[in-house]
Amino acid sequence: MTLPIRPIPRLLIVLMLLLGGQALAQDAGDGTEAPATLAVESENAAADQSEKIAAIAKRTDQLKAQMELNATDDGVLAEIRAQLEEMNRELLGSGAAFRPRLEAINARLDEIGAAADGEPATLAAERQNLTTEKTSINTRLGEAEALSVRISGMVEEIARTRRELFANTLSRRYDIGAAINQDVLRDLATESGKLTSAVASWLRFVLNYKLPSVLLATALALLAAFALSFGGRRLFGRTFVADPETLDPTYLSRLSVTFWSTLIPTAALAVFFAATWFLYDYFGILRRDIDQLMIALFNVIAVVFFVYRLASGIFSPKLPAWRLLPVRTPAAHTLFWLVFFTALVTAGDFFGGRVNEIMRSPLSLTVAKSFFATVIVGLLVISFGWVRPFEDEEGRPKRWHPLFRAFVYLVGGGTIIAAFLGYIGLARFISQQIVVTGGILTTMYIGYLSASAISEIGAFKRSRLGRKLSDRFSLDEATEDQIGLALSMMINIMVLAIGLPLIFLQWGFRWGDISSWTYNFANEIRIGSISFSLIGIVTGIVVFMVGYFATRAFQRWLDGKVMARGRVDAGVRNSVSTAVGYAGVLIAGLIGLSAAGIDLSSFALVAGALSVGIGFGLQNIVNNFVSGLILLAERPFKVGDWIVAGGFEGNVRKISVRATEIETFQRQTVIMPNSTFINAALGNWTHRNRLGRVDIPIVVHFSNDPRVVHAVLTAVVTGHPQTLKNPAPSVTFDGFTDAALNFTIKAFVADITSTTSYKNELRFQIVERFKAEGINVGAPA
Amino acid sequence: MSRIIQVATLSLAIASPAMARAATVTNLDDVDYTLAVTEGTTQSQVTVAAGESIEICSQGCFLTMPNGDREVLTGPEQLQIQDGRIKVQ
Repeated sequence: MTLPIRPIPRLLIVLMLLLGGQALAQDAGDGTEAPATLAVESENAAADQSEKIAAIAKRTDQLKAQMELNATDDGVLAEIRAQLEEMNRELLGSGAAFRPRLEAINARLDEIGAAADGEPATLAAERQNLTTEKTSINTRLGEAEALSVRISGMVEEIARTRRELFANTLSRRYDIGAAINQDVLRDLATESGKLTSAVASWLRFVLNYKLPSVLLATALALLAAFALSFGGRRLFGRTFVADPETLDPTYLSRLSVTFWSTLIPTAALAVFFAATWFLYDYFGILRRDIDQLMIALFNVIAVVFFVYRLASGIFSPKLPAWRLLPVRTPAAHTLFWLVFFTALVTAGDFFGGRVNEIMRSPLSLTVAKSFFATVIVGLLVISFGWVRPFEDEEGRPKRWHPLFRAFVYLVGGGTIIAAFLGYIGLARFISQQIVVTGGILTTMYIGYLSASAISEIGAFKRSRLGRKLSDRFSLDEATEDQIGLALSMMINIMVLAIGLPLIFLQWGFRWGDISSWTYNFANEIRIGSISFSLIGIVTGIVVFMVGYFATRAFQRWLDGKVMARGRVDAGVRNSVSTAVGYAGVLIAGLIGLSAAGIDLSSFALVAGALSVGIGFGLQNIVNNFVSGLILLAERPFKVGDWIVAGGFEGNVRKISVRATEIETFQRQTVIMPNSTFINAALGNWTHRNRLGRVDIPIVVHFSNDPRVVHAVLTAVVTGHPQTLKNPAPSVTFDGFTDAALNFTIKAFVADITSTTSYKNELRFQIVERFKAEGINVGAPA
Repeated sequence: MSRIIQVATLSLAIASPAMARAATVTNLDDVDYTLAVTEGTTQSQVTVAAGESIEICSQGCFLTMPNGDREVLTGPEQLQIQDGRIKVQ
């Protein structure tokens, strides 16, 4: 009685190869094409292919016979299916190999042209020959097609048969009462005797004839395993072992200890088993029945060991601080042993089943063994749900979450009920799935938890890897956080990518199915009439990032090397840099979008309707944006200028595309939208140069003599060293009222931005001179 | 947020996605052609309109043109129909 369960350890070893194998599996046959274009060579190649096709047809018949012979043996059927699929691929390759010959024939026929009167006989004969050959090739291709259809039909038939076998195993009902009687014990003794004698005879054979090979093989296998285990310990060191000294390890370190202390010993064990089996097989030490027993035993031991290490990592009965689940210590012990025994009993049942098969034990023994095993497993699982693992607020023991408990009771109870009702196949299946799928899901969950733990703020920084990285590359906090986030995403993806296929594989799906699903999924997802491809989107993002960083690098180079050396004005540099930056990002975005291959035509309709509203709303922003671009090009002012606009006055600090920052003399930053500069008048005191005119109004009383006042003012202003001679200063007599005479001093200075001391000094001197000359500003006394 | 993404990815992974077809056939003539495509055990008729480009056969198939020419595809090939003849790039 067999069940189509794929053991884990084999898969664990093959995992590395699977990734490479997927690439190969997608490569569905390439060139078996004949390389030459010479007629003779391709003709011979065509003849070879015909032979190949005939050989495939013969093998197909043989396999069909085997199929019917082994209609109840799932393993043999699986092998036959693999062979059939390989033959189909060969068939396609052979068919494709006719292509060059066909092309040569077609080309020559085109050269010769259609039949015409008065053409030489040789030409007509050649045409006839070519046409006949082409027809025969087409016929052979037709035969190949029919054969391919037949082979594919057989493959589907095998899949159907296997599914039926599986369903039958689950639904087949055995008579428990008949199976469990006194004969069982006698049968058990007999079978044990047979097993012992089989193993003993093999051992004798080995000791007498194959001792050196056995020793060599075992030594090599041990070497490989030690290398892996030792290497793992050296590489990962303290992440491996739970340190009893640490009182409060971070969740991340607990997770990593559990993970590595499960993975590396199991991997070492798996390598040891795989190497042992492979080398024994290579040296021809194994007999067929011992071979199968050994494989089953190794699988079983590896699974139990894996579960043991996983459970001791999660429950950690001896070191409470390192527990992954916050359970009470007595509960941790109980849970650990429950999980371990569940795995042990199930594995034992599986191994026992294989032994029964190989030794061809009576059915009653098989049924009885599985009955007891599944009932025990059911009881263990129910006990697991019964345990009170947590503590509530008052410190009293608390049960599991009710949903979880219900699920556990259901599974355990279901197993027992199935066993008692006689559905042994079903009960065995459930208990094996508890262990295997449960193990995989738990490991995936741990992987997910570690990803969450890493992505927490500051967690990566505190971890050892994070500290090493930051020492090597001197990263700042924000970058480290981002690295932590990226790492956690990668771990999640890896967990899914490894865990899901494992579960599907051991549920009976084939690797080809899984890889073609993944390929289809990644390539094209169709929702209604919109289709997009994940690979395309990722490509688009990558292209955009590349473009973005290239733009930044180009900007820096342009600014640093080209413009700085050319002693270009600071304002121009700013403008050019900004323009280049925006252009680069835009181009990168466009290229990225087209690389992503997203077809936006369905969105165009909606976008059109929205654009009217958006257009109205974004009017001003776009206005500012365009004004910014004009400012960049026209440059009515540059950074550092003193401008007057929109009622504000100050120095320009930063010019952006939407707005410009002006700093007033009171050190207030005014952020002015760019449209103000373009749509209204803008005053710039320092546009061409810093030269400017200072106007100082002076008012004196009407009683004074205006000519004297004028002379004094002129003397003062011309006497000041900072007053420019060209343009010459002037004092204007603007007018008078009944009590006042109004003058204005108009003087030009070289630097209009710092006139305070100049004006102050002028005013001081004017007051002194007025007092000296006796000129009154107010009414005379 | 990341949990939502994971659940979505999981469910999409389990749901069967649309079949992506790998070999491309481009019709460079002015007439439509109907090809007989045998893939696995299924035989179907696929029409390529004039100037149209379609994708067929992700895992190899046998093609038959209306004029009797046969072609065997093994994967992602690029085919062109010109003057009634089928050519592989």
